[in-house]
Amino acid sequence: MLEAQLQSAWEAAREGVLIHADGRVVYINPIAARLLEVERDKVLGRSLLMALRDHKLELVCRTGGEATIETRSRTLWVKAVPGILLIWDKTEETDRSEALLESSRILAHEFRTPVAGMLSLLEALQSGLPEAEAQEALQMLYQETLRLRRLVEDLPLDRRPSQNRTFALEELQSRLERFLAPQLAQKSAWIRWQTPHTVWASPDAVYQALLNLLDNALKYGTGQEIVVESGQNSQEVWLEVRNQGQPLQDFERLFRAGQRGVHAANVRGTGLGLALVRRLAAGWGGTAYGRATENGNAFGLTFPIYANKTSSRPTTQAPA
Amino acid sequence: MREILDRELNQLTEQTIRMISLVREMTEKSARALSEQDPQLAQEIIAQDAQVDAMELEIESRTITLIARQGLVASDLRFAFTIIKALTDLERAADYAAHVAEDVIVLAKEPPLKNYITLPEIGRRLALMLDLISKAFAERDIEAAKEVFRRDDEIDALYEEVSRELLTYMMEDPRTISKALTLGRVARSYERLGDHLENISERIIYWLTGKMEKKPEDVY
Repeated sequence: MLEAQLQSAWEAAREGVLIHADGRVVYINPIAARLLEVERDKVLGRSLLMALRDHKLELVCRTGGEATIETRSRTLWVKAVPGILLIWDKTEETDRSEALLESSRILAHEFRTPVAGMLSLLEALQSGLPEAEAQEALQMLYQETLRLRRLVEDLPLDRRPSQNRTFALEELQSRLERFLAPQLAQKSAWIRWQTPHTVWASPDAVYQALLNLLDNALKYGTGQEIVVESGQNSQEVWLEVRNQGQPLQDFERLFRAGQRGVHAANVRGTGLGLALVRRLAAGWGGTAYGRATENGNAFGLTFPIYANKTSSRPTTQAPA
Repeated sequence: MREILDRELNQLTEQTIRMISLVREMTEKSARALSEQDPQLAQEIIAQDAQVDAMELEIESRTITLIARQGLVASDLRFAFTIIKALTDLERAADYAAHVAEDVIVLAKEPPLKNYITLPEIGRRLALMLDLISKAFAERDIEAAKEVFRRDDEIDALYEEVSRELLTYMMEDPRTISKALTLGRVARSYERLGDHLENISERIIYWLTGKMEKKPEDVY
């Protein structure tokens, strides 16, 4: 009676169990069969190794104890006592800690670009700026600090109401240009703005996405002029950052975290910038894309047009 | 009499599965060593190669003795020859995993050319192919053996992708040539490792069906 109940319990258990005697499998529950990717009727009565198919698992069974073992693209935590092997699937847990690590990398990236800009401003202040310029630098530092504070507050995602509002893209122009001034001066580069549209999005998120795209254009572009242009078609408003340089090919790959372009080999970076831009764009219901142009590359953002939320001045034809 | 033969054949299968599992571990570790640029892990793989060599000799000797002593015929004989042929391919596969480990030791001395994503992915997929081969051996599963063919096509496609990317690096910036060549060698080792796994699958199918199946592009 008790034996039947115990067997029923193991049949329904969430942990895997394999019972063996004289080196042969005498019982394996459904979870263990699933985790080991074996068919129960094919391994019952057969040698233990035929079910385990892994020399490390076999060793644990033989010597007893606990171990974490990678097999069949899973992470299994196993515990062996004489005649019994207990199996837990730790794959999700491992994946979660890897995801956490990835998030911290993204977070570090999200802060690195603005902090580098703030550092340049502080160095300029330290070297002694005329009163008016010093005031302007302090004002910008104050604004950036506020923005970073909002960023930190946004970290527990889904807890805050949407920060989206209708705003003119032109609002971001002077702030971005002043913030990037040291890098622009260093490369003798300039930005040509053609952004007459208004969009429905979080201004901070668009600022962060544009900062990343402009930072990339400055790092990897070869010409001196960077063009920022917006346009509209029937479904959306688009905003592109274009720079000169070797046209790239596989843009989708670049938007995956950890991927970098072929020109990035000798430039400091994490390969997370564009993945982050895409995540930000998804936050306002838009997309992020890249395309090759005649003499360079364009990276763009789209903004959905919501009835009564966005008014725009269609002056430019949307790219095909 | 048959019972004794079956027991000996089962023992051969078990030993072969242990060897496949060890090669799998080496392959999976090579992917991790590459991704984490870990020379210590790479050293472990190189040390394991000697274990595989010893296993090859032991299983081969045992198989030859079995053929000579039991006068094997039909599917038993095909099985024995499958083991003999698979041993050579497994030993070569382990060599390639060790070659990758040697290259990781070289690569880990300098900052990486890029984040290594595709190459470790190839290594992980090869480890999964070894899982399938193990299943095919243990459960006499023809479908698992055939699945290895399909997976090898994916490995070949990834190899082409990596080779093209590395060529672009070298054309763009001659300073990357040395590192790109080492990475190219890693990609080549993985591609060859995949080919050896495909050979093993062909042999398993021959053992189970009596027919030699080759992928169309491999028939000349």
